[in-house]
Amino acid sequence: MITQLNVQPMDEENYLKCFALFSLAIGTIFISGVIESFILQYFSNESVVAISLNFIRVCLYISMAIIIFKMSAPANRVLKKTLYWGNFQDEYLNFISAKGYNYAFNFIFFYLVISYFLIELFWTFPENVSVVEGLTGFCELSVGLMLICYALVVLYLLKGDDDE
Amino acid sequence: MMNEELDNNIAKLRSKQKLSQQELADAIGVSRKTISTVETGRFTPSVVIALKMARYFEVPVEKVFQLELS
Repeated sequence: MITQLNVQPMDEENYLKCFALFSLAIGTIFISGVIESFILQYFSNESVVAISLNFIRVCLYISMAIIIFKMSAPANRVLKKTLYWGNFQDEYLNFISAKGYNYAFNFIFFYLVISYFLIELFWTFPENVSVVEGLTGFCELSVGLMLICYALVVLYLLKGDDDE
Repeated sequence: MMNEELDNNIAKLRSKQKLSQQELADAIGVSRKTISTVETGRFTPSVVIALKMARYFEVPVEKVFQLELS
């Protein structure tokens, strides 16, 4: 049984927005890890490219920490499993969250199917990359893309409306 | 085959009562985004919200929402 709290729509909205920003930050961190390991095959660790990538990563970690801090206030007033069960008390927020999951699912489904065929047909592991490294990179990329897809859909649908 | 579209008079009913979206949202316990997206036809609300709006404006629900055939 899910206990319903008396939640204000504004708290739920802030919670969903922070969660989307959090997903965006985590997704970008995952993807930047893959891009970094790909780029560092061609550049040394002391190069400007490597240093800038590390700088971007540090900025992402800081932004993630800020988002978590901001999220903690509305999250305390919203039921913890709201996101997973999709039971926002506000109907439009429920709709947005479901849309986010729909798009993320469809995107990742086609991405995996296309990747499967591309890997099956063309790809062979480079000699300098182990199978484990390749698989972890693929998983990181998949999770990163899925989180970014969810976040972008939610943030787009949550963006300010002009009709008053 | 005919298409059916949901039309509404929320903006008219609001302006008649000089009510902002936020005030209506607070009165029926939803977010302002719910009101604005329903009003502009971007989101179709549940029967519960439709009935709450009708009750708030003291009109039958058909006065708030109509099914238009196109």
